[in-house]
Amino acid sequence: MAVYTFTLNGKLTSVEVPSDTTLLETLRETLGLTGTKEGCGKGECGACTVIVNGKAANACLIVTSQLVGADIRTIEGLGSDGILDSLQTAFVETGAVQCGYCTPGMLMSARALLLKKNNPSTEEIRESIAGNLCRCTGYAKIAEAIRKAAVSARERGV
Amino acid sequence: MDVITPQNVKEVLEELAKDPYAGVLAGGTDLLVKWKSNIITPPRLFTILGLQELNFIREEEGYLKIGPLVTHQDLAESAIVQRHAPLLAKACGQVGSLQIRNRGTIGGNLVTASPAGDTIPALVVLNASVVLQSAQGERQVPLRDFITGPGKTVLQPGELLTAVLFPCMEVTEVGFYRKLGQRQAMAISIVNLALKATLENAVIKDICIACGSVGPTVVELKKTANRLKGHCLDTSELRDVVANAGDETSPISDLRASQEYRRKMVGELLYEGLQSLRRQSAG
Ligand SMILES: Cc1cc2nc3c(=O)[nH]c(=O)nc-3n(C[C@H](O)[C@H](O)[C@H](O)COP(=O)(O)OP(=O)(O)OC[C@H]3O[C@@H](n4cnc5c(N)ncnc54)[C@H](O)[C@@H]3O)c2cc1C
Ligand code: FES
Ligand code: FES
Repeated sequence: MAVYTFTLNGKLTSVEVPSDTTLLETLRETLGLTGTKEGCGKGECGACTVIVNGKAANACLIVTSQLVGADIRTIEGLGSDGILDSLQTAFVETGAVQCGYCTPGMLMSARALLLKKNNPSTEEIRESIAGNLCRCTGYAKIAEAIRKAAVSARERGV
Repeated sequence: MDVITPQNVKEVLEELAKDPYAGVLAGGTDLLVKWKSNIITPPRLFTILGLQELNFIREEEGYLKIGPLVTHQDLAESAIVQRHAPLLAKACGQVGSLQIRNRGTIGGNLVTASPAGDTIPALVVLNASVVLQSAQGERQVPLRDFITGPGKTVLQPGELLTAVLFPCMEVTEVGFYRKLGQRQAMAISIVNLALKATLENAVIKDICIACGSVGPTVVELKKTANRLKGHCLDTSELRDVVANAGDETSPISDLRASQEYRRKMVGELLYEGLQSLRRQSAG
């Protein structure tokens, strides 16, 4: 066991876990943040997607000891005090959610895209979620929701 | 498994020299998958991903020198790589998904030595070498000799891959990379093919072709390359010249594709590559 300190959703956070604990286990089991999902556990489904130092990453393929000093954002960091963020709103309004299992990962991949590009092309939107599997929606509404969120963020100048 | 965070490369080399069973962890996209599936059980690992001294892309005396920790996504987006070795940027852009490209490194891809590894054929046609460093010193090995079989390299216990280097492409040279998978994202290649050629008025002066997923390691199509030399890219006989290119490979049948299909696709990808060279030389 050792103590690892990183920034999680804007707050300095320390956890005491064995050095080979995955970030996914640390989030879900040590910190009780169960918004991040586990699908395959092997990098193939994207259900566990979080943002590490501004980039989308699979939390199942990172060990916590690799994160000293890192800046991590999870689904719990989107929106605040019950108010949805623009992507979440767009997903709800567009009907981009069915069973919802892929949704946290999709939202984090989409957020990582919008952090870099405020006017992404259709190609860039598809590319950003190519590592996220969805068994329900057929992806079209997800891509549309991301596009809508980008438009509304630009209109509001954020 | 004990994961240790070292301060610098020197410390890693000293620790690796003391403990032959210790290993290193880079992006973890190969190692952690194997560990979770109980294929490997390393007792001690040094996580090197934070060592900035191994994360660089430099142009030095006509060579491009790349640190082992540069991620696929950083390589795909790098202006220097796009200028001096666009086919490598292309290959890196086709690895896995964005999540995997954001973590997976070029060093990890080479040491993993998968027959399907995307950077390997690209780096072979670029004539790349790797620098291997240990507490005793360093050596440089051509990539062609570094990988000896599926998952096998000449890397010795105690050694760290500390750089990949190759000559920058000349203005007369053009390149191509294409991966054929079951779908565009996240698919391991069924066949991948890299080529680099020197052209003079659309005539092939020199050409180097390498394929992945069609043998235990990367396969270079030397006979086909020899046959192509002297041919003009505009001629119609190119189809015939490349038709049997797959005969130089030794693919297996697996759940992704049959041996016959792979062989046939080698010729197809090569033809597509030559058409791309033609367009590049015209434009
Ligand atoms: C879902 C998924 C999709 C993938 N798709 C592709 C694909 O399309 N194409 C492809 O080529 N690969 C693919 N991969 C494999 C993998 O992502 C790449 O091979 C990647 O480049 C590995 O790099 P890494 O930094 O993650 O290596 P790690 O997993 O950290 O390490 C791999 C091996 O290399 C050793 N190592 C790493 N760095 C060094 C060094 N500097 N010196 C000595 N030894 C070192 C480690 O000890 C380990 O044995 C995929 C993997 C996953 C999980
Ligand atoms: S659980 Fe991490 S990618 Fe599937
Ligand atoms: S909504 Fe069910 S998996 Fe995407």
